[in-house]
Amino acid sequence: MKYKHIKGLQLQKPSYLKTPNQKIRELLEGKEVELNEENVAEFESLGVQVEPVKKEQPKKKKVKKEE
Amino acid sequence: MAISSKVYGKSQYAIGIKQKNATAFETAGADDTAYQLLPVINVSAPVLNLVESGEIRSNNAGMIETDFDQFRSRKGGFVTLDFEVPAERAGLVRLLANVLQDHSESGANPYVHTIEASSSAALSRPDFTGSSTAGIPSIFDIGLYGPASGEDKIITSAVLQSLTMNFDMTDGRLLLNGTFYSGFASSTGFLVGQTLSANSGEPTLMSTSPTQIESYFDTKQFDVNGSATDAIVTAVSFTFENNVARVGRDANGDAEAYAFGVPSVNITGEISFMYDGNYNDGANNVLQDFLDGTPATLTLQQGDGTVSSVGEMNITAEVYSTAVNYDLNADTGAIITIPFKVVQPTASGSPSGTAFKFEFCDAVTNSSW
Repeated sequence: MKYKHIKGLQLQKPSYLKTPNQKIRELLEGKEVELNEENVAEFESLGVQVEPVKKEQPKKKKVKKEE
Repeated sequence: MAISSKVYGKSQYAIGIKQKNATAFETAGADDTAYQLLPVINVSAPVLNLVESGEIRSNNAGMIETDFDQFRSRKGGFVTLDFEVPAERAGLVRLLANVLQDHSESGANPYVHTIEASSSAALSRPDFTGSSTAGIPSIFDIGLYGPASGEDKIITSAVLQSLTMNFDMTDGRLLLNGTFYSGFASSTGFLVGQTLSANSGEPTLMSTSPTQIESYFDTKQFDVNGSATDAIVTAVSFTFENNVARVGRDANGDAEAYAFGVPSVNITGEISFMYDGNYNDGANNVLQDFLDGTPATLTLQQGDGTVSSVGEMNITAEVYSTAVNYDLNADTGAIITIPFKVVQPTASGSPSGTAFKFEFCDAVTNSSW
């Protein structure tokens, strides 16, 4: 699942994290990044907040009923 | 006897501290305790303040003091140990809680710690022999690691007498310096010639991911004419002094308790910031505030102000400036420096609001370690 960074990651030292540096950099850049459960659990243990990116549902086109 | 060619370097010495429940106040520090490293750069030696006197007595025509004119006793003495250490996340709260003897903690991994002196949570004078709750009363045994077996020392039931937090923007990190105090100087309280055995004779780390604390703030505001105003801070420091002193003398000559905060706990400090559009000598500004003697609220925050991620810090202090100093010739531009003392604000004659509040989020508990 993809996540976006909310707060706290900039205060952590990347070399101490198991989450790959590239993912950390991309999160800090505001990108949506694929994270696994371990990554998310590691962030939770540090109070780093990320939120899952919700996929926008395609809007259903309204079909006018012909009378 | 031939000379010894052994040479020792500072990195062969170490200081370890370990919290203990205050109910064990009179119990000597142990040699098998897993002391945790105080990551000092320069290790200092303990200073033994013993009861001493020595003056020439009568019946001495030679005019030189004799050896039996001298008196020295470990009973009734005290031990101090100075240190300076770059602050690490896992150790900061432990030291600050100890010097102010206040601490509360919420959450678990991460932990949010609060140390507070306010109208709703006033500092409380601890009973140093009572049971510790949330790590308070906070006392440490200290292991002083020597370079070889049998050369270690133990200081029993130490409390920080003073602590300075110095956010130096030039050094780039928070530096702590202070003095431990122990009222145990007897042969059973201050132990020499020891072999500290836990962890293969080395202090353990407070955290396996030691992280130093940087000197910067996302929010840095100081009152000007009663309004919180953003400042470009070049340095800020706080000094905490609690006037801890030994009380009584047991059968060994050691302390039976400590007096704390008698007559007061003093928090002082100094803040330097740029002389600029916000802070200057205009009407209703820095100098006028000082002349008026109006306390100001100092707010310093690392993070977004909601302390919930490891590393986030809030400091709030009600400060009463004791001078306004200028360095108009500084290389980086004119600087105003305000020494201050922290005071408890009041409303209608009663304490109201926060004198000092420190909140910090880290990954270790301070209640028991």
